[in-house]
Amino acid sequence: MTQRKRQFSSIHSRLLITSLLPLTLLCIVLASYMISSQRAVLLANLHNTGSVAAQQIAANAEFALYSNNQQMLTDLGESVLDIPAVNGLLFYNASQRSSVAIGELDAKAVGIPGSNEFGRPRFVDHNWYYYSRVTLTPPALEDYDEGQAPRPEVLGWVVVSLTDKILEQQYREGIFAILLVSTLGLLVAAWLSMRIGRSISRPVESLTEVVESMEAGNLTNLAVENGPVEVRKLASGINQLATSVRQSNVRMQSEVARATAQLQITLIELEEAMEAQDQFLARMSHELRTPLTAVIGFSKLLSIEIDPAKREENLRIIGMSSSMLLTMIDDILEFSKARVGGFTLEKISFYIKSWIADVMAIHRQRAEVKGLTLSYSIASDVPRALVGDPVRFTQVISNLLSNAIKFTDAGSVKVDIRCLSNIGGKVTLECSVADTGKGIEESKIPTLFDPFSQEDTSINRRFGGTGLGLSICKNLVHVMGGEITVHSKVDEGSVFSFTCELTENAIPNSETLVGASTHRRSADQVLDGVTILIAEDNAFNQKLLVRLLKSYGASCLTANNGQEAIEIASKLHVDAILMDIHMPVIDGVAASETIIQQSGESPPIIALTADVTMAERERITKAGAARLLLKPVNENELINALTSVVASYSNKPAPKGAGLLSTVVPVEELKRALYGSLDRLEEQLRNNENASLREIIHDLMGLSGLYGMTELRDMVMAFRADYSSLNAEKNLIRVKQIREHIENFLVTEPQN
Amino acid sequence: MSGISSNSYLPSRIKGFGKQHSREYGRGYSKELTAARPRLGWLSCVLFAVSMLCVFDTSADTRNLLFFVSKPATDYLEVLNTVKQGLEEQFPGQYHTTVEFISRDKSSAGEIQGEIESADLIVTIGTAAADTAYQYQPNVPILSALITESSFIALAGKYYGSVEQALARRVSSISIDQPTSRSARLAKLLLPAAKKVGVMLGPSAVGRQTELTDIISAAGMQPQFVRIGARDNPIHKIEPVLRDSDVFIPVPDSRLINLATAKWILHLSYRHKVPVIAFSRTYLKAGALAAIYSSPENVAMQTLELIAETADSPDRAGRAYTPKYYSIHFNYSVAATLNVPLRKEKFYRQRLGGE
Repeated sequence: MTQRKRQFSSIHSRLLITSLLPLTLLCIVLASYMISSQRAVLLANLHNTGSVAAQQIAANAEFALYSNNQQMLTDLGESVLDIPAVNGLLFYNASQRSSVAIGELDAKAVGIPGSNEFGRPRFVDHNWYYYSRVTLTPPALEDYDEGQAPRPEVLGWVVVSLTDKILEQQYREGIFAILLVSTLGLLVAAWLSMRIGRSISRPVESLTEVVESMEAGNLTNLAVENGPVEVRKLASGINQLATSVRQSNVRMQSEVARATAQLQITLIELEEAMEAQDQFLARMSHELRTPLTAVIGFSKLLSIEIDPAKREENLRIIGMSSSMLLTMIDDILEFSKARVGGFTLEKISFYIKSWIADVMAIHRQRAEVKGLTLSYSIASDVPRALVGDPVRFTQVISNLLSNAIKFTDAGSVKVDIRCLSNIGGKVTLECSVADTGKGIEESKIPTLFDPFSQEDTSINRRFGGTGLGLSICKNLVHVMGGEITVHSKVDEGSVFSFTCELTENAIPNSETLVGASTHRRSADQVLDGVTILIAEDNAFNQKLLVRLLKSYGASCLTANNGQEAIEIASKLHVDAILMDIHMPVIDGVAASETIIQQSGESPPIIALTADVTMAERERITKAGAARLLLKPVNENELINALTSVVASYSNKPAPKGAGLLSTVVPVEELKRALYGSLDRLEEQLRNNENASLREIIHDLMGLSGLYGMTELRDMVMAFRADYSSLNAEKNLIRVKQIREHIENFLVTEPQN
Repeated sequence: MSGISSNSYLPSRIKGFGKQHSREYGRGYSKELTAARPRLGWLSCVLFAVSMLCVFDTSADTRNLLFFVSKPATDYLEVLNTVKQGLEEQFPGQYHTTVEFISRDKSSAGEIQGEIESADLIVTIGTAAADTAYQYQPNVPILSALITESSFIALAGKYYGSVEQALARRVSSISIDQPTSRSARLAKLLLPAAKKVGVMLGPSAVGRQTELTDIISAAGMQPQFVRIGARDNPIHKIEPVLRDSDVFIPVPDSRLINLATAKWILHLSYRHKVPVIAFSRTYLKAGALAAIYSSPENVAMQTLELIAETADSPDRAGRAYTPKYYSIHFNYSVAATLNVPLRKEKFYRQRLGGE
């Protein structure tokens, strides 16, 4: 059934049906019409023959009837019998009596002459009878005849009989001829239709085959462009389409290949990243475990150790290990911060030299331990005071310095800062940290700034670290609008350089300027007289914070959950609240909101949380917290934040300029100590006694480092590096310069 | 009709009244007509004298001619116009003509009566015209043209009692029936070998058998007469005679006889291949070999001559004139069929003589 439907739905079949069906119908209609009209024509011819024969006989029978010449009538009648179909003839005379009958004629069927029906053709028993009156009309043979025209005289009648057998035979022959012609015509038409239909359908079928071939994927087969114009156009279109598809396929395949290659590269990179991440986790696990193991182990030793010197040594190791742990966690947090929301830069004025000196001072001890010369230089065109985020700026330098010291076994590490451009107060600085370390292989340089990546995992084993430092540096530099680059040669050293954009502070105000010394305040004076509520559910952290803040002179109140914090804040006066966010009963956010809503002038709240997500930050900011600090708490950040918020809350200026030098040790006593060392140094130099020179220099470095005199420390370190190569006189001059520096420093630094 | 040629003999100048015509007329008519001749001669002498006086006295006056025409047919109008034209040419200003067509004037009898009374001469053209004019029996001369002998005799008898009385009342006629002698002589000229002449005699001509016998004998042939009555079957009567004749001459008779016999004469002529010498052009067209007849021109010329004569002798008694002029026509198709050689018509006219 389906196959039959398909046969009839083919274009060839439809074309045949379209042409043959109307043609067949037309043939049938025409044949019917011709058959019927042929019968009518044959009948009309028969009538005509009969009528004419009767009239002619009548016209010729005039004389014979008038003279009653039967022989003549017989001859006349027999002459008519020669006409086909005429089978009889009958003459009537004027008295309506049958005069002469010729042939096969039924006199009874003829009818009676003169009756109403007489005269019309009659059909009786397969015979037609035709009648004609024989009249005599005398001719007018006078030239000037004025008489009436003579009335015709009836002489008789003639009846001619015609059989319809010939008509029927002719009719049958006609039908046969019509059917034959129609059939032949139909056959010819069918043949022509098939030819024409094939000439149309063949190209279409060919096109169909080509399209099916294309569907099967063979796009090289082209359609033959022949047949009717429309089909040629269609074939041309299909060929163009096939070409287009082929080209598109080629293009797509190449794109797929390229994309596949890219994906493979990405996959490799991903695998590498995963590997790096795995290594990182393994490394982090190891790095975290190492100091933790030290802390745990030395804590146990501390509990059983009696010797004070060993106990102090154990405590030092515990502190150092804790610092390492904290640094690692800080790195991770910084990196995480960069990943989730980037860094936000503050815009505050600062003395660049002061901040750089502090950074140098932080790393100087490690450098000295390794016997490295640590120095820095700031170009003269670098503005003294700038506006920017000094913390982030120095963080980058500190990281680079840390790496340089870490990977340098001998030689020096030097920091250079110069001004690339200063256009309208917009300053672009270039900072470089150069070391004489082992250098970096060129192939490792491209991935150097990627997270979780170190030049070599073996490096990690040897030097430790998270591997996030350079990545963090890169992010920070980008945030500051700069770029970070590295030039390195193996066994010669590396130079890490970065640029950053800062703004020049044209009119530096000493009151608003933040110096590095601001960070170093006397622990027992900064928060003196300040009452701080510590809301923390963790007892250990609570004690830690109490001890820390008390060491800065603050009075502490404690709450174990949010509810207690609300109650205490509503009953007692506090200057600031440290609010842990995650607490039982009522969490820190809800407690902060309640406290702020309860009192008109609520104390500033510093939120503490280990959750660094943006949602958490937003929640806390909405609750009304003045600051947000991340756990573990950085001591400096905490104190700075507290002093800042307390100062703004109590409307009293924040303690400033209270440096360690002026708060811990009296200036004069310090001067005496320093001068004493310098005196001994000069004496040693004059006497060329180098035996205790290193001890004296070490003391000076210790003093300067202890009290944050970074420039003094740098000068002493430079002296230590060079004194052996200089003569006594030059060394004395440099000692004198150090002495002058001490005098100037202790005089210019404001005393509290 | 291309096979029929015409040859009308027209005189260059109209002459006076010809006696031979009247004689022949007399021979062609009945015995009664022949018997009245001496009395007419005397009367005519008297009338002639009176008319001469009248003419003498009224020669300076314009004569009124009243034409009665049977119908405005071509032949009738041709006769009328030829006559009028001849009068205009030959007698300019002497004749005032009035024409009345019968069909129109029937409704105005009073007016016709007035015209008749004021007319000096009435000329009728056609049988119906003569019939109308005779009805009034006017006291003016009447000249009837384009009329057969049988019709004139019938009308004269109908309105005047007899032909003689009509003639006495100054009624004259010009017959269109050519004399049988001309037909017999023409037959002999056309068929010199012909010896037997079939002659059909209708009721009107039965009395002329002897005369006709003489005429035909004079032409060198033997007549075979066939008498046809009104109730006879013409075929049965004519066929034996015609079959046995070399040529057949139907003598004009009444219209009824002519109609009843003409068809069968021609039919039998065709069947038996016997030529027919006809008395009319129509007969010729129907199948006769030749026709000797009076054409409209022939009639007009004779009428014109007689108008002048009558106008000159208005009181003279009327006369029945035979046709003075004649025309000969041939049917060349029939001649070819019958294998009859034909010469130029001039030849026959010269042999026949006359005008």
